[in-house]
Amino acid sequence: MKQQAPISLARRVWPALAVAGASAAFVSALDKPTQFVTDKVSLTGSEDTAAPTAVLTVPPVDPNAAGGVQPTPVVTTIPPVPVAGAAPVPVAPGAPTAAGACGPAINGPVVDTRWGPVQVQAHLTADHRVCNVIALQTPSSHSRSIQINSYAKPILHKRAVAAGSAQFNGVSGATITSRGYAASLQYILDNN
Amino acid sequence: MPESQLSPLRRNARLMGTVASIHVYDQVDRAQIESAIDDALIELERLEQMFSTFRSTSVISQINRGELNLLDAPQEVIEVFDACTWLEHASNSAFSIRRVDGTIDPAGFVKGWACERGAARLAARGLVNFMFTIGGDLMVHGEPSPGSRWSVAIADPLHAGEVVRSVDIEDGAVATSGTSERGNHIHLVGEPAPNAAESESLASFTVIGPSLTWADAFATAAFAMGRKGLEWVAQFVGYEAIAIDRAGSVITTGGFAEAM
Repeated sequence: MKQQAPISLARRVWPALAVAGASAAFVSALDKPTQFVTDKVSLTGSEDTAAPTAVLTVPPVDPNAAGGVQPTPVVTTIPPVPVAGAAPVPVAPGAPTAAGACGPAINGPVVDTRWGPVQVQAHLTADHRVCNVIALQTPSSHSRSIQINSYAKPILHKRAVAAGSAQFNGVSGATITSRGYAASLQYILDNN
Repeated sequence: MPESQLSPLRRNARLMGTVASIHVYDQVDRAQIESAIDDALIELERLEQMFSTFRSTSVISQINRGELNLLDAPQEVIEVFDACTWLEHASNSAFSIRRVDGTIDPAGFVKGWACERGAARLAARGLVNFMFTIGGDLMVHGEPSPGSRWSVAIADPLHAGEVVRSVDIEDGAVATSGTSERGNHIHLVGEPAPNAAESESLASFTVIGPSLTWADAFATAAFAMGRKGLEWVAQFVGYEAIAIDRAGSVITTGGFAEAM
């Protein structure tokens, strides 16, 4: 049985990347009523006086990449690496108390997608992070158990990553419709 | 610490054809949190009424029927149109607010922009530690517990319910564009991307950066560019990207690549 291996990068440790500007920019975006377009006069007043002033700012472009200069190649491909023997999940479902301990299994609803039924199961920690994921039903066939390992912590992580069990608070994905949402891990995070 | 103090106050709402969810970790009066969330959701509903192409009464629908001149539209609509016009130029038309028939459809831009505005509403109401997501795009602010970072998983576009990686971030945004559910985003693009064929090889494109407006916009445009979208995103200071191709390979911008 072929094992896809999204966990294949486990144990690689990425150095922390400075991103000092990121939080500052966000805070400033929240606070500063910056008009997005400066070379165009606002043509009408807002019809909604209760709305806060718009806060769009255009992100700066790296001057080294501007002006038609061919940007330095910055792309790295990491081929998928199969994991032999589907390493068993060493988390302890049901282990209570500690904030980081993995709680009992929670099943999401069975959702019919255009590829077939999907159902996910996840464990949550007491501080509300997903700590283990199992795809109970997938359109592609078999159920697979995936431990959420500590990959690199790309942006901005200066602290050492706790070994063995990276956990997450939220999920980003192209889960656009309500139906897709119900089949997602975010659904479990939201409703349990 | 009892679980009740660790678990965030959570709220869901159907919005913009998908689901918004808000998790607030602040240890403050529950009524204050609920009130702030109400405020943010009312704002998002107002924006949906303004921008939805599925509502005949929306400003966008009025413009598309020729009943309203864009220049007479509310400030937010002009702001979004301006931003989309900039993005169209910056992306060499990989992104466009204009449909082939000449009408406008800001759906590819408004979700992230609106989510960021919703998050700003929570912050304006004094909330500090929260996550605000709409349909797979999210913003985080503060920290989920004292001294810890937000960890955000990137969904596996090839295997429903699984994740390929998680990233830890401080205040900022994560947005993903892809084909994993609703076909591709080409319907958002007025003109076919010059290199549309390449996008066939990508399954999802995630952008991480300080603003969800731009992380979402860049993800939408870059996904339409295919692999070249990685280099395109990398030119914007503060933004990094992770793409997953149809073979399951992970492709990243330099900020990530250096670390490997």
